[in-house]
Amino acid sequence: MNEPGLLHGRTALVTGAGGGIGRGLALALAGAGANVVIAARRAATGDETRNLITAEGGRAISVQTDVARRADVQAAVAAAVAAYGGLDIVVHNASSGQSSVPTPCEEIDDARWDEQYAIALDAAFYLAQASFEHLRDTDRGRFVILSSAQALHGGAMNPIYAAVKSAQRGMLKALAREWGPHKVTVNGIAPAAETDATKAYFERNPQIRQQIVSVIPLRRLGDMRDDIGGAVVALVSDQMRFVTGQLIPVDGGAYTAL
Amino acid sequence: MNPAPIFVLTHGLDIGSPLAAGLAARGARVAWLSDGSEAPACDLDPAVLRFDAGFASRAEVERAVSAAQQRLGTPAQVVISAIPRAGLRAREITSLSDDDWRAACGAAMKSVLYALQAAYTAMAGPGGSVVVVGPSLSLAGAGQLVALSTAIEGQRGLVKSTARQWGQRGITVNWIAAAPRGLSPVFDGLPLPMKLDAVMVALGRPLDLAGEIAPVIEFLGSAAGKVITGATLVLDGGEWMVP
Repeated sequence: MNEPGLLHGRTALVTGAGGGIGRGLALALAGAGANVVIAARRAATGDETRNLITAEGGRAISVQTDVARRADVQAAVAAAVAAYGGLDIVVHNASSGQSSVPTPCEEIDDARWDEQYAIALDAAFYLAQASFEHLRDTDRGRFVILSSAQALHGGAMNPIYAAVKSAQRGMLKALAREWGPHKVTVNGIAPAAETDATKAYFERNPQIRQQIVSVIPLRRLGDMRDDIGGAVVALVSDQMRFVTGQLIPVDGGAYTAL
Repeated sequence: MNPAPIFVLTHGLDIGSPLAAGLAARGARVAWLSDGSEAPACDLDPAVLRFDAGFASRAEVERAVSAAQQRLGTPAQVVISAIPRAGLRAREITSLSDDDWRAACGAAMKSVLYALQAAYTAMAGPGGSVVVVGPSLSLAGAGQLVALSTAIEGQRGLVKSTARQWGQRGITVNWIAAAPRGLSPVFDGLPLPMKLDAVMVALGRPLDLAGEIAPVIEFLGSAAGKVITGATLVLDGGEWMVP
């Protein structure tokens, strides 16, 4: 499924790559030939992803990273440059574990807001600042944010999540305009993926799975590596170098109201 | 019988005083709750009651709304804007400090959260209309204004989600994306996104806050307007015509 060689010689940093979609992205990018820097909050899960990549013959390092800490983000970028001599692709995928917790707006407190805001937006800000000098003016610089369909339709589940994902959309559009003259593209994707947690939930609740996939034209959720990762590989490759400032749904056609 | 009042809450750039004046001119009883220390952007109608408000915490906003409620009664409509002055300087993202980022983005998003929560506290029983107003620049994104573009789109996402949560409780929540230059002359000096076209703005001009946007807000609060929620009303004179 991956396109070997499409990203040969390029280096990609992926946040939240210790599991879930982030791991799928890391595997897909490595499968396309990129050197991958796995930024994971827990060293053990980051190392697991690295081992999966190296077992397939890919190249990767793992850097323990709390993306809400500027110093950690700077260290991850520095590690990429030290290991591979540069940085071409940044994928900000990390998301709070609280993202899917149902939350009435009137009950949101500062602690819940601040935690989710920091991982989605402070981290994107730190990543942009730390990576720009490496991404600029090479014609290969790519900055990608994993946003959400909830940035588009405003899901009812958690207003914090809808807010920060929508904010990421505003950020990537503005940053695309700012960095375009420096030959850096900035895009986002809004994935609908079947994560490990989703699979486990669907096994317990098969009727809910049926309800969900029945409204998706392709009648399934996306595979984390082949569908979501594949889209990101295409987006950061030369094939889509003229696309910038876009939030692209990668969701089997679930949201077509744009 | 007096009509139910409208509360206009303004954090940062003052677009509240023209809206309050426009709503009062149409016969509404209006309270303007603002954290601005400078003179209002327009002459205030004597009928508009002004209250000082803080937006740094939910308690501060609720205190100001409660003070207005004691004077005027429960609001039928709450109008909110939070356009941070810290975001109104054209700068590359790489030049922003952490404090710049927090002031221009995080604080601006959170102040809308607090204002929505204060509106809910006031209107949870009888229901009502909430309208949040922001510049349309976030729909396209503005370079050198990344923090502001991020904050405004974040506010808009919050509005949509909240509209879904509160709709069946009788509270509508909508977003107005207005042409920046119609909101304030401050935007004249900023690098706004442009779309080239033989006719760049269908009406050829931005809309006037008091005379043209205030009536739309009034409509959203009317019985007929209560069927609209979670919507983005693009009041930019026909510039972006978003898909």
